[in-house]
Amino acid sequence: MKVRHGEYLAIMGPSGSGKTTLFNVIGAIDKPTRGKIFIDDVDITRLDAFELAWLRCRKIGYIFQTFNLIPVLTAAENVALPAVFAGRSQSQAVNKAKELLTLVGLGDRLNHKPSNLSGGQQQRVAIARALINDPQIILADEPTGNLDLRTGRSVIDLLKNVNEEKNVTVITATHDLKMMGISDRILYLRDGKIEREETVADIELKRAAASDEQTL
Amino acid sequence: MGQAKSDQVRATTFPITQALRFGFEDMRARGTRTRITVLSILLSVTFMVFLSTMASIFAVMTGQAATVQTHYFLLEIIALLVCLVGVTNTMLMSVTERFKEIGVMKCLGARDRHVVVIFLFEAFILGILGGCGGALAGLAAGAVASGLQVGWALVMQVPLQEYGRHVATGVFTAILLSVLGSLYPAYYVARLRPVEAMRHEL
Repeated sequence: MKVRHGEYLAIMGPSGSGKTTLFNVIGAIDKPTRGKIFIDDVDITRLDAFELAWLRCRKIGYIFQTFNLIPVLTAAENVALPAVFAGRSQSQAVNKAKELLTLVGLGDRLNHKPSNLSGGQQQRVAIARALINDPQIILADEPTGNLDLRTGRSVIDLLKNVNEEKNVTVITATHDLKMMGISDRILYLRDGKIEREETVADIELKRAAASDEQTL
Repeated sequence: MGQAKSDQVRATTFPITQALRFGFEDMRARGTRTRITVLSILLSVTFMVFLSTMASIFAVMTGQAATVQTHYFLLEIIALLVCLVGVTNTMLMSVTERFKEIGVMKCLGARDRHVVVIFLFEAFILGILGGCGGALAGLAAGAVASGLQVGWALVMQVPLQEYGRHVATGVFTAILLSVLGSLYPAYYVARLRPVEAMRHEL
């Protein structure tokens, strides 16, 4: 399986298809029992804890279905955290955090704790957090899973925006069909194997065929 | 923004000041949990210091050194065990509650030692608070209980250093047990893969 720089890849499949496991393993947050994974020619299954921490901090940004913000920190502090691990001073980190939060539309909620934010807002904080160290890859695990239709839509738009403007590779594991319209490629998993693959071109063909059928 | 520190050396860092701040924020935000933890440490230490204080006073009364009193050793051991179990259990619960949080922090770049430092610091503070409170409470309770039984004169006869020793032992024990009690679970969870830590739903 190969992923190109700047690609927007969606991994879809029913529960138990191995979607989450694949996702976790390529995201360096779990270890595979067999096999190798290369990010920029480096086999991440052979990295030690030191290097893994660096990878997770600097190269990859994570977004989870359950947001996973630190409850005792404010939005700005949450977003700043990865930058602190990267070695920035607290003030530098918080400044950049505030910029990012304003970018995702939460400029007026900088000092709110997660318990005072809606689901959609928490997810946007999580996205800002994932972006603070200018990662090459964003991993989003069911980012819209806990959100309503409209909020989910805006989160997807945000991700697509980031993908296009900053050329960040976005890999999502998702059930959400709204992802289909904006992904460059979709991998369908079933029973632990890749069942099929669709590219933007395929999806367009499908759509064209479907609308042809309707008119007939 | 200029270069980050981790551009030169590919290592993530977590300055002590940050760990301290994080620990403080955490204890402040989880006020009730913190108070219960401190209380449990405090009670264990109160018991221990109460016993040793009483023993000192009775030593003066009977002329027997505390160590010779029949039930002394047994009671002290029980006190120590009460302390050990109480504090360890409390710290274990405290750390276990935050497994998920720790998993997330590892996704953001935290290394094992960063996680352990945060918990160690919190355990230290809780140990000091519970230890000081408990030692003083135990001393007071022991002095009052003895005073009522055998008179205040005897209470005054015990040298201040001896009382001081009991207090110091109490505080030291609290800190030691607090830190040890949280060390094992903190180290355990710090070494989990992020996904494993995050899966611990509570």
